[in-house]
Amino acid sequence: MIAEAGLAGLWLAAALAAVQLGLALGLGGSEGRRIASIRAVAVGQGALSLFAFAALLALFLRTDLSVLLVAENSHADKPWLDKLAGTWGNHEGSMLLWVTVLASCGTVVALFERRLGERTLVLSLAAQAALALGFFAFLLAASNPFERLSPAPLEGRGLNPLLQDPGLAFHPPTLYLGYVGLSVAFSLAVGALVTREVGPALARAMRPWVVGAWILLTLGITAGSYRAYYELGQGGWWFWDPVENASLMPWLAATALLHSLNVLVARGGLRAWTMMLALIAFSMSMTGTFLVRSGMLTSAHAFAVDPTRGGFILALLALYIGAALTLFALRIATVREGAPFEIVSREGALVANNLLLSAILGIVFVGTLYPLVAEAATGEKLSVGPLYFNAVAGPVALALAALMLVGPQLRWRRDRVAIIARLAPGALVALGALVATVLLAPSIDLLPRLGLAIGVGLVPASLMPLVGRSLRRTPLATWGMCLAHLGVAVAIIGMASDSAFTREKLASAVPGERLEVGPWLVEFRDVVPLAGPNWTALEAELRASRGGGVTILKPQSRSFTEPPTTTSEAAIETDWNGQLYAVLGEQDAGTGRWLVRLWWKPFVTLIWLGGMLTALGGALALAGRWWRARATRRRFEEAEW
Amino acid sequence: MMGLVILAMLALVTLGLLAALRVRGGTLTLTAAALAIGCAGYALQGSPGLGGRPNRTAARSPPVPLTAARKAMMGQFTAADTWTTISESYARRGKSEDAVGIMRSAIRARPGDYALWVGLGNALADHSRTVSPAARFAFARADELAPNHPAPRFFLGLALARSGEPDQALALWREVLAEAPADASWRPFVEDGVAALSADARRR
Repeated sequence: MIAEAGLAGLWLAAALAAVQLGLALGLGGSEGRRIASIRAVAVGQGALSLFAFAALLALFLRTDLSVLLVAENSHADKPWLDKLAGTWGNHEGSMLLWVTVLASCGTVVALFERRLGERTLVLSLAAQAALALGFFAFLLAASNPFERLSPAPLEGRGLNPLLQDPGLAFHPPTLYLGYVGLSVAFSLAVGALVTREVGPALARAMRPWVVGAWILLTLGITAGSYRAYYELGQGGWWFWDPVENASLMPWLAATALLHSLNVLVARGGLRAWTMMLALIAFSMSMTGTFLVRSGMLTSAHAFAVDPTRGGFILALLALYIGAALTLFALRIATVREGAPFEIVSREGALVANNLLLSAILGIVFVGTLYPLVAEAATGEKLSVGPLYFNAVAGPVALALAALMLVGPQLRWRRDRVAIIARLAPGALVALGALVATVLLAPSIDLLPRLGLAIGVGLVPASLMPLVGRSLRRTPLATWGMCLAHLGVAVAIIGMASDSAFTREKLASAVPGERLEVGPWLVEFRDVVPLAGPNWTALEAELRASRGGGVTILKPQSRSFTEPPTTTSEAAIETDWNGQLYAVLGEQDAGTGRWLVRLWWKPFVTLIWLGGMLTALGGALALAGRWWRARATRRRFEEAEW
Repeated sequence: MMGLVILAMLALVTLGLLAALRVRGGTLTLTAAALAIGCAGYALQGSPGLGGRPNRTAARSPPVPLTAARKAMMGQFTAADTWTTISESYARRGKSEDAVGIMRSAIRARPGDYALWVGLGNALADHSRTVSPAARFAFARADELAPNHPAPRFFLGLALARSGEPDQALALWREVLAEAPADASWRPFVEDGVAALSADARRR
């Protein structure tokens, strides 16, 4: 009965989305009570969506095999965390999570947004309801997560073993919260474009959503990168897989948006550009959804292989993005200009930042979609891989990082005096690092060399905005900015270091043999079989020593029965200056030798540490602004009394 | 028809919530109408009479009783026999992962005992319900430790037969049977197995 309750909840939530849209467009309801009614309906819609999603969670936890989705994607023997994660480890469940977050975001906006004019708010809620209605329709018409099976099978087919990992429990929901959080920026932009109320008040309303979504996207991408690193057993942390790119594109747009929002809040400038970015950021989220859900991509993440679903999402995409861009084209000429500024100013640097981020976004977008378009047009299968992305996006990303040495040091409006003094620490450290890499590591490539130099230079440059201030009185938002930029610096150092200094050893070995990789001596001691909850495995025992230190690594080759799949579980030893990464391959039946792959990856952990610092910086900025807004509101209320 | 009752209750609770949030008059009527359309959608798509079928643990078929064949081939009242008996008792209760763990513990103490490796192969094959690479590895290690002993090949054959590979099993058992002394106490087990699989092959 849980499945029926879930489906009933979904239908009723869709009905309330239609009511919300109708009320917001003025179809029914009295004028004076419209906003109150819309708020109530939005609460009902959010509650029913959460109810439907909770029903699906319960079905997966109980392994209710009378539900097609559960039978196809779960198994009674799976650990409970994998059963839970299985709820969104498939097409229909992930789309239900998507629409639940969308409806919940609409509820939060309806309940708590008080900064906007009523008309803008009502129209924003209309846009949010229209988005939700489209995705409800998609779920109910083409992707029903509660479809039943009668008679129910005796056992389920299990979940793709690559997805049976604790990371799946956290990484997709985090990303989804980020993707769909951007829908609020989209809806607010639509509302403001209709009413022409594009200004600092709108930017203040939009900023927490954009920063929140950006934090979650940063965390989701960082977690996804680490998960791919240890789960795929290939030693890589970013593969330029189209599904990875689908998460990177909204992040790039959101990064540009949150910077341009700062200009709009502080100086009232970049109005048209900010609106365009708000529309683009969520459009990229929807494009990512289309890429993953259309079945056009082959990936561990790409669940749907159904052209009907792809066509449905493509139609939604065309409708929403097309309508929003048309509205933008019709309205933007009538939006008031912001305050002027000079090129050498904080605004100028932020414009350059936006241009470079948009250029990277364009490069990734073209590289991701080109093979699909080419195949549709010519029938020829093409692959665009790391060679293109690294060669084209890498230099632009480095230019963006170099801009970070300068931008945060500049003042608003214009800056001529004493720039050199503020730029000197970062620039000198970068130059020193460049010279050091030339002397100590003359053979590394240009891109990682420049990455190392700029990354090291960015460390002091990121902290320069704190110099000369009273640290106790420095706003939390400024601390957040510094920390976020420091995180980017740390991540760049990690990426460049991994690219420049990684050592790899691929060997065919028998127990007792010794292998060398980087500073490590690794003894291949034995292979033993073992069992886990729903798998059996062969586990190697590797004794790794460096100087006086000894550690044991146990990489596994796991075999799952439901569905029959073999995965590599890498063994990773983390040291202060890098990671030793080991993978056990297959045994050669003739010689009895085992395939063993070893990597020594200096400072690779900085990539994910940097990602976390960046997200933490965003969280500090968000908390600081929230705290300040609350204090201002209190002071205002006390003054009124 | 429980699904329709749940639907009606959900719709009424939703309307009640909206009324409590001061949705009144025409708006409440409009909302009720929309919810009625939602109910119609559910009525068209749902299966209100179909109950759930939760499956908390997979129904495991009990392991084939190997004790008699095992004791005939590898002896009894030995350390390996004791460990394997404990492991099998766990497997019989559905705790096949623990059964593997017990055999691994025993092997850590006596890594050169082929009978323990055979027991581990059996436990792994039972846990994965197929001859996974790990189970095959355990049988192979047993064979290395006791190259001419029939037990590793016999039990590998048994695991293959249970996981739907009767032809490979039959080939192995014929090989074992060809080498078996005429007066071996375990010979009847192999003969019965070969006869059963041969009959099965003829039927196929």
